[in-house]
Amino acid sequence: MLEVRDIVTSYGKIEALRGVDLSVAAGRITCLLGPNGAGKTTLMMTIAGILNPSRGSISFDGTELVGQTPSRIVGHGIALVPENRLVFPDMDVRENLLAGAYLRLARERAEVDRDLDRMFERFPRLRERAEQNAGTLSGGEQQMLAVARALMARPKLLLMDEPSLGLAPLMVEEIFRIIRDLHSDGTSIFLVEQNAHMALQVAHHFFLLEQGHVTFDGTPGELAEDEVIQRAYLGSQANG
Amino acid sequence: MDDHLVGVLSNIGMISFIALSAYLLLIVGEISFGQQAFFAISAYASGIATAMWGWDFWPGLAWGTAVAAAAAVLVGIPTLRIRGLYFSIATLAFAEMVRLVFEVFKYQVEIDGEMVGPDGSDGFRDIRYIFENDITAVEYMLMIYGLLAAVLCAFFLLERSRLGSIFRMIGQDPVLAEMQGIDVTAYKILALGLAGLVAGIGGGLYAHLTTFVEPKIFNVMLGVHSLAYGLIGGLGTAFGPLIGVAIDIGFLESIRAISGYRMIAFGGLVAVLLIFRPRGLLDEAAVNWIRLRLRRRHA
Repeated sequence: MLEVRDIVTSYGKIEALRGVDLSVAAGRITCLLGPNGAGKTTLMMTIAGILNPSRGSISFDGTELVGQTPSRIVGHGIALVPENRLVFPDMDVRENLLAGAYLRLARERAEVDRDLDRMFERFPRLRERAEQNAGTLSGGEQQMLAVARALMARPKLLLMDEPSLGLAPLMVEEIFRIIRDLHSDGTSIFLVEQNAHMALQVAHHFFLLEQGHVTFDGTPGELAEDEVIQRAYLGSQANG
Repeated sequence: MDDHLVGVLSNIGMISFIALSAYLLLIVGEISFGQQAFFAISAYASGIATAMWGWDFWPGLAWGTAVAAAAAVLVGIPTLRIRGLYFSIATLAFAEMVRLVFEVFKYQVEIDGEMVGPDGSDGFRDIRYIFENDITAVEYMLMIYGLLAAVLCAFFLLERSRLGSIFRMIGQDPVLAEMQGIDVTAYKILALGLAGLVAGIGGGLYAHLTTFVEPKIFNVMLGVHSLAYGLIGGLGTAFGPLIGVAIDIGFLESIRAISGYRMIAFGGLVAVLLIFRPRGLLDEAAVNWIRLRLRRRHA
């Protein structure tokens, strides 16, 4: 569904991605693991069109995404739950959710309202806080809101950048439960995670990204979990 | 009504338009130092229409406003693609360019044996429509406030509309807004066009009240002030910038005993407010508080 080929993305002279190849299959949960600074967030931002790669191609169901604006890419059915940049703080929860359905709002208002109800059923905490400013929510609630907002776009592919970052263990469990639910509803998910233990339990396929290269491509179980964890946190140099 | 008071109130009304225009851009997160350019463009264009082409006041004002809005869109197309400070710098450069063009802009025709029209740095005299048509100072003041009320209504409708929430999303986080599928650049250009239009109304009104405009009035201080009005009065509601104007024009500039200290007091006020209330007197929190009180009283 998503094919990333030889992507190079740089910040000035520093190449954060040095020729990344990977593919994400439809109907699967795909996970990207790697140590800090490996380029995981850079890859997500590049797929979403916020960063422009200097080389390579990204195709989504046959459509080339490189060179398109972020808003066009959303229109093709890719929604990103970004890291650290979750919500519009001065807008209430309902407005944040409607923002996610921005492209659909004009044409299918009734559908959007139904989706809004569905989100409130799936995330009851958000219903309780519907009129509250998003900036006043806890970290976990903001993460839920960001996920719910991304789903309001009815994406074919949901990109999630470290959804469990900084959350309490119970909330992490909750987020992974949501990820499983979304998958069983038919959403394809491409997930960046630091929490390798949790990620390996839900993922069907995973990649290891180290220093801007993909260094492993396979299914959970093909690599011993302790080795994955070591490389995901520390990079492979730590082995030697 | 006292002439001085009418003059002060008229000034407050006219400057409110340019303050609202800078405020509109602050909502979408852009800082412009150049709103005086659109004020100036409309002042000249509407003055030319009534004094030289013999148009009526309203079509003349509409023409000036339209030219200002069009100029704003043309400035926005290249400058709003770039993020960060560049837009602010570009607006400043554009406004100075406009002022310098008016310094050399000569376009005169003979009317009743006299040359009428912009004469470079000597300015543009005899924009006499309201005197020739016996509109009194009080009547003109009411026209200014009528238009201001209409523009304020438009702002309140905007704040409740879908377009308004798009503007606020862009102002809070343009990258996140883009990720929702919003074409941020297009909406910023639209916001600048609307801001040009609002400044244009003020400029046209100004030219006809003073009957004389010259390029040096439209210097960068006018732009800096109009930006500061929103920051003083508050960014939570369109009333905010009006409070800023009332404090500056109504109090600091118009009371003779203190007008000599205007710039000192104004600068100090901006500095103090930026420290203690960075989003102005009527910031979002204050507006929410007032709304809550009003709702409770009605309930």
